[in-house]
Amino acid sequence: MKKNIIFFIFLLFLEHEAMANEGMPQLNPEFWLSQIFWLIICFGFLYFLIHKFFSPKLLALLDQRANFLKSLINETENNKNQIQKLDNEYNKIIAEAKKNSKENSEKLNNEFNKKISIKKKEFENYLNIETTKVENEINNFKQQALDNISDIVSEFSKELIEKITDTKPNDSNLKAIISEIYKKQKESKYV
Amino acid sequence: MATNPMHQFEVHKIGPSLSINGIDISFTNSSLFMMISSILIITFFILGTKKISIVPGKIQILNEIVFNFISKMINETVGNDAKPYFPFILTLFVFILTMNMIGLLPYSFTVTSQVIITFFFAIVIFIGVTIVGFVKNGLGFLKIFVPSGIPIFLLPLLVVIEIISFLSRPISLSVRLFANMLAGHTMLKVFGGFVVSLGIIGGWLPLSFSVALTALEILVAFLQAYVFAVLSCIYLNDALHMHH
Repeated sequence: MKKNIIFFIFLLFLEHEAMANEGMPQLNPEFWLSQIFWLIICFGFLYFLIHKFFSPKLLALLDQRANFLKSLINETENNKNQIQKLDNEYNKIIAEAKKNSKENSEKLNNEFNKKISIKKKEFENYLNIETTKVENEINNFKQQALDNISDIVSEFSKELIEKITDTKPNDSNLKAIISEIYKKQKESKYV
Repeated sequence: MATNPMHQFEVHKIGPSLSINGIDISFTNSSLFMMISSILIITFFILGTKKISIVPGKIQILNEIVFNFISKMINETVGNDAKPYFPFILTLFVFILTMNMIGLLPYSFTVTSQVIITFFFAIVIFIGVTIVGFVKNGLGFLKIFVPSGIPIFLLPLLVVIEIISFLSRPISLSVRLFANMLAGHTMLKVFGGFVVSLGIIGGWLPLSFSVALTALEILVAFLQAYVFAVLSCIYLNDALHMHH
């Protein structure tokens, strides 16, 4: 059995040799062992370096980065929450301030209107008083003018007669005539 | 000789012959490009994690993109249980991706176009996943071969199919990557040969094809690395969660 297997392997090698000679250099077993040896050396060394140095280093970095990103995400989330909180507080303050300002403005408006109405009243009273005063004064002046009108008329008439006639009229007569006319006119007015 | 598109896949010794207990471990062009890929990846990760900060720099961003891409992929396919396997899947993805991409450069060598390399990756994953399955589920892991909700008379047939499907995983996983790389690079080489042979007059058409193919190959290089990593995750998921 063993002999048969060895013979079979021998035949296989012979066939490979033949194929290699025909044009498939890969099937030439001459350098198979040497290639396997150097493959084990190169691949083994490479595997050792990757397994022991490069892979752990990169893995640690990726973990570190993932943790860093996680911490940044958490921080961002916290900041977001804080901003939300501040925003809510700000909105609350703004709403309160608006309410206060509205109330204050209404209050001030009312006070202003009240004051304005008081001032208006005061002014109206003052205006009434002053108007009455002025009216009284006008009446006084009118009375006074009415009282003095006979004198003024006599004076005026005297000057007129003097200019027309070139003679000086008698004052007492003239005054008497004017006062008589004035009296009659006054009476006719009241009748 | 130079026009043979398969010559780009030839492995040859660089420097003296080395051996341990009669096993040849000579340094080859394949080993050189594995080393270049490893150095590039290490440089990329060193630059990315040198001045590591919460606000990343340009290379750190690229590091994080790769890291997050694989992390997301594992989470989607396996879940949180796969955390211990993350460095392995990450190493697997970046290593295959870098080797695929470096292979696209002119005069370079595509390590993933060597079937032994892709098969070794696949067999390591297959054995690893099987061990994880047995450690996690004990003998209950064998239930993976018994699909649920199937009539009993169909079970013997389906168990055999499941076993074959399970055992063919390393082959399909390795051949997919190897064949894609092989086909892509062969095609690029063939079109490159057309450009040279048709010269400045007729070479424009294959040249434009070459440009388009290179773009396609960049996509394939990424896609195959991704597929390899995703399938590894799916196998791991089967072992951890026993979907059958």
